[in-house]
Amino acid sequence: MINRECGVYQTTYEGDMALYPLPLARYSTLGAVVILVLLPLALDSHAMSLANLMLLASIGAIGLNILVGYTGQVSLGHGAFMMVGSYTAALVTLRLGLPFWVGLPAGGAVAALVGAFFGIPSLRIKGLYLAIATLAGQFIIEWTINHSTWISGGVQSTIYVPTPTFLGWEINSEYRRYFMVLPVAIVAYVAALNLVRSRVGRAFIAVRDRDVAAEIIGVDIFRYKLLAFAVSSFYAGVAGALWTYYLKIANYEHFTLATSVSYLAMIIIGGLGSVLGGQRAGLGLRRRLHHPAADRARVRGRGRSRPLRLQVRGDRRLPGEPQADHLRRADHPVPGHRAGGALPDVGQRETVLSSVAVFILRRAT
Amino acid sequence: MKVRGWLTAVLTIALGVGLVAPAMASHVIKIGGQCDRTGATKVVGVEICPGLTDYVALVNKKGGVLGHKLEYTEIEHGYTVDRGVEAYERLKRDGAVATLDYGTPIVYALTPRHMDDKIPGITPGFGRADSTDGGAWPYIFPMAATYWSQAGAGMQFIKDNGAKKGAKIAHIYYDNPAGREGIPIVEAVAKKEGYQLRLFAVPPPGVEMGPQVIDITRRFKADWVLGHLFGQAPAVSIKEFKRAGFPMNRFVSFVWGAGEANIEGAGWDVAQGYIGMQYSSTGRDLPVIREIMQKVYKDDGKEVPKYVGSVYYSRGVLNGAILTEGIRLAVQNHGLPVTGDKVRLGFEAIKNFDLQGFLPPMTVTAKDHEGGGWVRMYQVKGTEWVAITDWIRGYRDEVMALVKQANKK
Repeated sequence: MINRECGVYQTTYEGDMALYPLPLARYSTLGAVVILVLLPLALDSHAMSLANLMLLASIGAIGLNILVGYTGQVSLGHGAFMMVGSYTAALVTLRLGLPFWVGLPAGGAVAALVGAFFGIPSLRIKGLYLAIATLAGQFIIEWTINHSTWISGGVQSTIYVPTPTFLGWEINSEYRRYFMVLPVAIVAYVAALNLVRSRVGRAFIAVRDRDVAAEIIGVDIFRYKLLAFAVSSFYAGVAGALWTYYLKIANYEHFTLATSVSYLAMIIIGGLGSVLGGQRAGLGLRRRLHHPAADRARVRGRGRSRPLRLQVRGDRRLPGEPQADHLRRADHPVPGHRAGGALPDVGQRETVLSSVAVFILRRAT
Repeated sequence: MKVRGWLTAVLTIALGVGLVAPAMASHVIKIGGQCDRTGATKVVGVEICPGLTDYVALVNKKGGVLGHKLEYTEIEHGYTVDRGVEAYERLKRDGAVATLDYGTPIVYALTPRHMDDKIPGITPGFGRADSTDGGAWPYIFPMAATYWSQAGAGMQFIKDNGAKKGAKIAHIYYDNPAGREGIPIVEAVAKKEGYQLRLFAVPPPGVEMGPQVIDITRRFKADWVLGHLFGQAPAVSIKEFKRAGFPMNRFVSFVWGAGEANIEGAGWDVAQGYIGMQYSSTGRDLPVIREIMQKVYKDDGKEVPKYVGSVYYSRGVLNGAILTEGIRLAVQNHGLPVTGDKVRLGFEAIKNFDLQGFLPPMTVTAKDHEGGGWVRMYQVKGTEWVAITDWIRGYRDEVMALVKQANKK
């Protein structure tokens, strides 16, 4: 939480190393948890769906932040790791009949293994090149799941899972789903806070700040880089699994490259190298993207993203090629749509996301 | 004086309405849907969505559904799943009795919610061929030829145009779940008719298919090509097949390769003869489109936008027409207040509904949520799509057998 060390003097090592050394931080965190638990009393079902989507996003974002923000390794494959978790959870539930609270760690574990595998290139390459390598991971995983019917459950790559239950309690409304998602989000948050102040977390930060120096002081770079990938992918896997139980369906089209880039955008906006940043990111970006006013603004082409907008303009007809009068698009309700031509102008959201991706790649190299 | 006259008139009307209103008890019936006027596939969205809203505006101008106004809420989702889910939850909270689900991944994501909430969702053109079976999917209504029916109709068209045993047919498809959906029917028909069939996958984003086209035209030497591509891919395919010298009138495209934007991308002169399927009629010379142009635009002194009558706009009109007809039958047969369950029964009571020739003769039953699976073949001639067949369908037995088998699992 937001507070400063001022006038608080620790007299024991335990006090100094506590998760929240400051009393104010402790109370505000406790207050936040109480508010979160009581939130359903104040919100309608639509607002609850927003809360659920935000919490789901924040789990994934915290995971990615451990990798990108704390360990300094760029990943464009986060969506694919979520996909692995999602399908694992669906298969575990459908084939083995296991409940969702087994499916979540199972999804996380399989995603962690896959993530660690795709993290191997990080030993040799950095920055932009690592981003490209993880991008390859995104496509390889997507293709594999899409084409092996053993995993994807058939030509449509879609697996339905039954309504999750907890001790005979059917999780079938937005309110109930909230209490499936919230505990996981809290555990994810606290675990990340604990991780980054531990020996492992300090090693991550050392690798991020200067890997050569880290190696000199005895940090096993290979191990910690892979561990960062594994932990981050575990979070992604849990988020993906939770997404599956939330929607009662696993479908690979929910975790494409756009998802990966979205998550990068979230943690950059929320704050790299901060667990709360991941949380803030999930909450903030989801909320902004979902806001009806933002929708309207985007439709009118007056979104906040305006300065970043790229457009593919121009007429793609060949010389002398006829153009049907009724096909000229000058009168489309969306301003900026080119007058006649083949390519659609780049969607604003995609443009923002790609700008963000370029930004992080530049920073990383 | 003039103002006073107006005021009197308005007051009189208000008084009259005030007195009569309780007796008539006019309800506002809420429906909703998603749209993508932004995002990757906005080329489609900017035409399909006004089609729906214009049709609803027309219905309301003509007094609503049996005297009850329709309130249609359009929510932008930019073809993203999370915003689609949120949009559905918003519509549900606001009391929508039926929704349009927009986009294949979003349809998949929302299917369990429709079943839980007992709110019917229509998904024309977006899939789930297996949801044709209303017994297994009571609240999902594809309401237009699914990819399986399109595959059946495409093969029927090819047969009607002279394909004999041993004819070489290439099926080129977009390599994602929606793109692969037609394969089982194509394979079954080819086996039944003794065609030589080969499948050619185009990986997303589908802008590079030179090798596949050379394979089809030079090595396999296909007699017919059945294409199932999306986005930019149809335009690229037209260019590539033209370059390889393949006759365009031997290329039959599924519905998402048959819009004006697809042809525009390749150039109308390049695409002459190209054949595409439609599940609703297209063009301006149709009673319902003429009525929209008159009542929604000209009567209000507005200029008719150029996209009115285009392929995607017509599909939007179909969405609106089906929603309206389902609600009309729900009110007529089951009375007020309208609920999701009554609209489901309303949809299932649709019989020979063709909107003055705009739609195929749609008959929806509890067993068949597709409405018959009709399509019509159109061909590029000049700078427009011209119908070259009546409403057709083919290999209905194979399609229905597959639906049955898919839902047995």
